[in-house]
Amino acid sequence: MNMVNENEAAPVLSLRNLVCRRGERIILDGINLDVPAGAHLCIRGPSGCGKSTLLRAIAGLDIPAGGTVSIRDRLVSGAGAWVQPHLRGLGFVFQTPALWPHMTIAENIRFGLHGMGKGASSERTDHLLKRFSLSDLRNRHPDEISGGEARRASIARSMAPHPALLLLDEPMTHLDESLKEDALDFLLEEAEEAHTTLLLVTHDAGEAARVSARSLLFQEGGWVLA
Amino acid sequence: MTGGKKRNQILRFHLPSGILVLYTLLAGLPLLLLSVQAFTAVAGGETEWRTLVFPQGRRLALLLQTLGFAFSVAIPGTLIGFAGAATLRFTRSRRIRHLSAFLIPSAAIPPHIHAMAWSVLVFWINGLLKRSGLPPLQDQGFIISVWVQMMALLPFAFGIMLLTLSGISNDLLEASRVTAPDRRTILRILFPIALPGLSTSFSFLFLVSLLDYSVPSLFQLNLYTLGIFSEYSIRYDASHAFLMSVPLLFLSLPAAWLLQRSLRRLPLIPSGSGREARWPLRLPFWMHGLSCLSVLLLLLQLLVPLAVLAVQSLPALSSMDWLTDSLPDMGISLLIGVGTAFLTLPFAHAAALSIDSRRHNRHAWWWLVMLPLALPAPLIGIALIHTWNAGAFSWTSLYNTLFMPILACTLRFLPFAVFLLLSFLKRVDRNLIGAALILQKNSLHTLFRIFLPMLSGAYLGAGLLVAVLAIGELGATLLLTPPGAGTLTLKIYNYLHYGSSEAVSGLCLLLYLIALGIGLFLQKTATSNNRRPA
Amino acid sequence: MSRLAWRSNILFNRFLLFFLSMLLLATVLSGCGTGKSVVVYTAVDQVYSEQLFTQFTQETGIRVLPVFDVEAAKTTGLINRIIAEKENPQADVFWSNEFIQTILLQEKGVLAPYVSASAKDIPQAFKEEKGYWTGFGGRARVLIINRDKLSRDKYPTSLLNLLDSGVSPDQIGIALPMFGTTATHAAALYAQWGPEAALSWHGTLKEKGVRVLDGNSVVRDLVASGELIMGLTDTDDAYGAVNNGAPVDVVYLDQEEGGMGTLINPNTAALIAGAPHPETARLFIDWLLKPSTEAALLKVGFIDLPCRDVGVQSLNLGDTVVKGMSVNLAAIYANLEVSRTDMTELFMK
Repeated sequence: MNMVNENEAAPVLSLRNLVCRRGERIILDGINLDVPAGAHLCIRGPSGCGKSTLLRAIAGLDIPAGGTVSIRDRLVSGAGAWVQPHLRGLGFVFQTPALWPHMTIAENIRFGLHGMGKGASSERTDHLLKRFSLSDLRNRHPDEISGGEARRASIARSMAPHPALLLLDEPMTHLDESLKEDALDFLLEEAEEAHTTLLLVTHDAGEAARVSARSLLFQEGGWVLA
Repeated sequence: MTGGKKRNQILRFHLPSGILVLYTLLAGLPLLLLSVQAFTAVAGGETEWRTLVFPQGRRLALLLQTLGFAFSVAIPGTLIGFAGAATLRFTRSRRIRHLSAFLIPSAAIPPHIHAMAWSVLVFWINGLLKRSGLPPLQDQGFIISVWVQMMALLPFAFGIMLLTLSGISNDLLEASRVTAPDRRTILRILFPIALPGLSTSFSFLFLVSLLDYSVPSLFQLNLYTLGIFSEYSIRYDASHAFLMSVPLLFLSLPAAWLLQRSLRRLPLIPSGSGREARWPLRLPFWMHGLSCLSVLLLLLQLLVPLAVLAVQSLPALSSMDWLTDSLPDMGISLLIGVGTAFLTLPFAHAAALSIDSRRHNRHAWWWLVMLPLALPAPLIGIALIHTWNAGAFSWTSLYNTLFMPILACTLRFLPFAVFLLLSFLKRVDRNLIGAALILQKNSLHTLFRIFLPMLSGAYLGAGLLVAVLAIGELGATLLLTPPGAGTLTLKIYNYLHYGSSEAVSGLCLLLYLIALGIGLFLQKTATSNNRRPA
Repeated sequence: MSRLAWRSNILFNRFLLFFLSMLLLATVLSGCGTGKSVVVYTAVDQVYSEQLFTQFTQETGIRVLPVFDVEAAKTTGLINRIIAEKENPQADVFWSNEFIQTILLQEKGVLAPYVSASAKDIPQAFKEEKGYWTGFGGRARVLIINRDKLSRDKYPTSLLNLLDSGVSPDQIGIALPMFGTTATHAAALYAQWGPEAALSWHGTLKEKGVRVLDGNSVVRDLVASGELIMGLTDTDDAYGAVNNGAPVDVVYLDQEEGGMGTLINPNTAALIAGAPHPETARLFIDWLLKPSTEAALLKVGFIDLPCRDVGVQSLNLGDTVVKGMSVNLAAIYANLEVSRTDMTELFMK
């Protein structure tokens, strides 16, 4: 199976023969993939086919059993290399908002901006709060906001450090249609502006169609680029 | 209101409340009568009460020393428990993770045994040091008392922290890992979220060290509680002892308050993905050092008593009389353990449900459950004698039966069962109960077919935990065990006095192996119960 | 049935099965018994008293239901229990390895008088005049010395020269003098020397840095292991170490001509007022006070000094004659409160 992108632009993400296991079971078996900078790619397939595992392997949250992962031409996993997740320059949105309960919304967003100066990080936080319509909630704690707001805050947090690659693991699950629309709008606007590459795991064909024309699909026991 | 709704109300609110009222009678009344007796003595001319309640001079110094001792045990004990639990929670090595099955049961080793084992070890080490011309380690006083007490309590600190850390969703940590180094994730995310666990562990260790003088007294460190006993043995007056305990209550009640507050804030959310944490830690060297040190200390607290017991009990293997002679005591101990588990569980169930509810009286239940935790064990024993032998409950004829030590152990260890049940209750997906409430025939149907089976692991765990603690109990059991029904722990202490160290070591080893067996069984059950519904 | 429900049911059943099997096992192990019985609360070491209880049951068919004390409770556990149970007594007999607590129980009105026929040849000094309690063979206060650590010519001979043997005071041990027989010993010295001299002697021990330990058995263990060179303890503890093969010698102090003698602490037996089984209680006391019982206790080494001639030599002492202190038991008891208060003040600082 070879799903190398035909696009000539330099890939921001390259996977070569990626193999992931859970115990004895092989979840991903020899995935090859190039994703060019600024591209939006949806990953779709039935439950248990390895969508989340793929994202976690790219992020370095799981350790692949074989193959290599390169981000922006830098080998981050495999062939003797291992780069810690926070040094890979990516963002991750989980299935749950996973907001830290002891921090306010603003503090959650600011957490990843430790490399910036104080002024720049405040400015970035304010920008994101405004962009995601969270300005009024900046001093609230996660248990004081709604599910949709928490989801927006979670996306804002992951985009705060300007990641070149944003991995989203079913981020819109459990949101109603209008909230989902809002959250997607915010996400796509911000991604467009920052030229962020998106990898979105989703079950929802409509959501996939809004994000990207191309999808990585799991069909009849194998992965295909559609 | 329909009949069905009424039944629901009865089972969800009135039944737990009824059970708790019964508990109030059993636990609250004896303690209330003791305090009434003490205050009547004050009113009747007990002139010393001011000096007893507000200590000065020597007593004040003793109280401060006790406070210092409790802090010195609780702070490092909690930090080591945290570092050790974090290491075991996040390690990728299955073997290391399984260590927890051995570490938690070691909580059942009586502190006295730790003291004995460490004394022997320090003596050996000092022999070596002397031969090498080096100064000896301190074998008496503050430092060794703190050390041994901490070793005896480490399994509790470790267990509390492991429970806390396993309740923290991986997503929260991984969300940080993609933007920050592990050090920052630990300090800024893990540590603050685990803070209620840290304060639970701290307040528990503090409370126990404040109230239990057995280890310090072995190393010549005088504590306030020993002072109470000392003066008690001059007067044999429960009121006097109660009044002397009041300054201790001023310290122990805030600790109990902190304990209950922290427990309610434990991050015991259902773990989101159910995925095992595979977290290859990249720690700065000092944190790595602390982590290795903590695991080493946990192993030491497990292995030192075990090794010393094993070496010392070798000669006892030539004759197994000590074992066959102890069979009746083992039977009584088991009966008390099992009985305590059975009596504790309904109370723990009712208390946990009431405390977990949003009802206004939940604080009252907390205090009721916590109160015995703040009282020295002999006072609980004396209070129960006064109520059950000739007092309000003498008509029951239950005095002089095994019910009495079982009741005392229930009062003493109910808080632990409640902690455990609450932690599991918080992890239950409410939708599972909601689904049952919609489809049920009646509330009993839900209670017995859904609720209890779903929480069976928790009930089993709570039952076994109190059983193990009850088997090791001494202070109250000594006062309440019926004639002819000695326990294994009483026998161990008795033989310890006689100096039969081989038999003592053999019995302790036996007690330890029983506890270990129970711990392994628990571990297996917990693992098989950990699968989450789809 | 869903997988979860199936698993839960299995677990629930396992849970019930486990507890029921534990209950069954415990019931089988503990056993049950009926018939005549006597309830004995005793501070005597279980290893000794158990043998006697078995013998009593074999001879009389009466089952003994004992409650043992433990040293960890500072031997006050049982006394508190008896006092707390005063309104509805549960014990028939109190058998103690000393006399102080027995006199205390008498003062608290917990005991009933009983003059046993077996006690007629016991000297009056060992008996309460109205029969509230009766003393018999006992143990003595001794100095236990690790002979590998000190040459015999340096052994102290008197309490007054305890610190003059050249041994560093931190190599000498005593138990906390507020508890147990060490408290009795302190009270005896108050009675013998007068409060000032006795307090001053204890003050010197404290000041010089003598090791103050949790109990007599701890003193014994530390001397036996060589961690301490010598310490004050009782004969039952000391000979325990000797019989275990420890390199220790047992020294009776103040035995010289004109010396005050050492404290002898008799066993005491007393009937509890309102005992639930008074008949079997009297039978047990009669049996316990018989010369043959005292002889048996001498033979097993639980007591070292008989209160009368029982025709048997002590296992531990052989034919050694030990001189006891001349102060009477009531005088010692009378000094107890003040000595304990002083000792608490002195040693709990």
